[in-house]
Amino acid sequence: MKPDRVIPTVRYSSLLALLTVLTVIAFVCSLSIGPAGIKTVDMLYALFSVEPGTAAIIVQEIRLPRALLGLLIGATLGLCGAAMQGYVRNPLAEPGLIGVSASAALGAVVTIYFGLSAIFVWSLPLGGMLGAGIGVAVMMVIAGRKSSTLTLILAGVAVSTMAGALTSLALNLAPNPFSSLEIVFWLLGSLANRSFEHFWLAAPFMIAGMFLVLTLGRALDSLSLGEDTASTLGIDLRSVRLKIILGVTASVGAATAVAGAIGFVGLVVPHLIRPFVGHRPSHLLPASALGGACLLLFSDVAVRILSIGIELKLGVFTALIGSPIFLWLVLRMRNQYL
Amino acid sequence: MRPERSVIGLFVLFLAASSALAEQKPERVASTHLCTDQLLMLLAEPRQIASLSHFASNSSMSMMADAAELYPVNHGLAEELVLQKPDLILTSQFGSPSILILKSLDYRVLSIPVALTLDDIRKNIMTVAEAIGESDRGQILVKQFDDEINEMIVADEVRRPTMLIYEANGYTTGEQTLRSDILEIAGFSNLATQLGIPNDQYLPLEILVGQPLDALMTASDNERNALAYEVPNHPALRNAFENVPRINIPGKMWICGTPFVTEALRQLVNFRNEVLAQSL
Repeated sequence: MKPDRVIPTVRYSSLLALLTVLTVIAFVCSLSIGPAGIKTVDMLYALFSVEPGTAAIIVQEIRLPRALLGLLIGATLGLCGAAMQGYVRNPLAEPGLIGVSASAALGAVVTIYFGLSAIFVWSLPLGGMLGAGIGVAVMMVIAGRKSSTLTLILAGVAVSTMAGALTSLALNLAPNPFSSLEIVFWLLGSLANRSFEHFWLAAPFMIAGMFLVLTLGRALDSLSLGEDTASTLGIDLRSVRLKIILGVTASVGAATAVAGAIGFVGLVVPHLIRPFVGHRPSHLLPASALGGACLLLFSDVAVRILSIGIELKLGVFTALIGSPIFLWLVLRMRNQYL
Repeated sequence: MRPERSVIGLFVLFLAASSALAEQKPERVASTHLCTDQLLMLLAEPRQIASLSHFASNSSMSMMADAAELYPVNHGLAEELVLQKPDLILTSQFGSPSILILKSLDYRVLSIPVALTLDDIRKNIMTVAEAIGESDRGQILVKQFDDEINEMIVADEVRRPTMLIYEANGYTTGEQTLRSDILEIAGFSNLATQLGIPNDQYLPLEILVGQPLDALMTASDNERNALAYEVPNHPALRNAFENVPRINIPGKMWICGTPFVTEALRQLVNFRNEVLAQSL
């Protein structure tokens, strides 16, 4: 690890301010752009209107839940990516790559297509979290804390492939003519046509999970000095481990249950932000949450602008941004380790 | 050769030819498409049916699911069709790769076009009926079909409530579709055709909520077991058209151009009367 550069706090707070401003802009764009052309001014008026006009319905019930979900899911993915990278001290740890998102999608798919979520709505986020929990647990058992990057990635490929195959199988077996077509949603993710029903189902778990992970900043700072040093600094490693597992499970599980497995946000965002926060996890976590929200909101605006007819899936866009960065990381690591 | 003998020879030849024509009535007809499955069951003698597609016995898609249980099944695969030794294969205009293989093996394949109007249904009934040597049954079926439709002819042609079909994944049904034709015959004006939407196409929820509608057809509330149904069940749609009467006609009644569409037509005509009574 490189030694921490000394970075003035002023720079960190201005980074947070900049990311906040960008996120607000992205949020407003997300509310302003859609197939029904509504001017930003009219949009703002409709947003706070109490009369049930067409514009109010469009903004309050179609665009607002979508923007709020983009905000929270982006923050979840960015934050969990940063926390996992800090915890396993591995630059490739990320909910998507290590199979947590894929197993969460599997859990959600089982509850929707076999009728569980129609009987009991909360089974959807619970199913997503159960899947995510299994994914995280398998990851922790196989890869553990001291595993090499290679072990982690191979285990991730195995878990993702398995979960993806089981998802396809479940969708093929589901007694519904549309189910097998919906594999694309679960593999690539989308926020199109999500409503407040989805928001309320997922938001409590995402917020609770993120809160849990955000409390780990100092512990992760100490961990970057090594486990033994962290222990002598009074960090309870088992509690950190438990909080990471619970936090990632709840937030990524709930996020995936309503929006599918959106890849690369958790990988890309911490890497883009790390140079600005001097490799300090306690600074990286909040900044990555904001960065993730910003990236996902802008990506969601981009798919709306680029799409003709049926929308592009969100994951297509995040992968287009993310995979070059992934390749760049691989190249850099090859020089470092091989 | 004496002239009488040649005349007799010609006559014998004619007899042979006509009996060959009669013999051409197919003995083993296989159908690989949900819509031809149902036409075949309506028109053929049971012993003529070699197999039906596996969709025919699916009660969510087929109007004749119970009847279809009695016949062998195919999944549209070339191998299994060859083993069933059909002398005629009925399929839709969208042939599958296995149909191309069977054609190249010189099996007799008849592609039935998708019905886009009630008139196409009449044509398709007769095409199938003639191909399987049951023209008389075909004519009887068409006559029954016409009688049922004529009973339901809409008296009040002037007032046409605007209606939209909004279904799974936010798809609507516009120009050049059977369902649009049936909507118009039932006395509705299809918003999708007003908007110039051809075929089945995605209509964004945002565009829809601003439209003036007198009636709406969506997936029923209990169909929730796929993401596809979340679009027609979106809260924005509920709020935008809170007081707009809704109907749900099971897809199986009219996804295929069969005489069963009269049931969909009947429900729509009744629904139109309710809509008009409400708006008075």
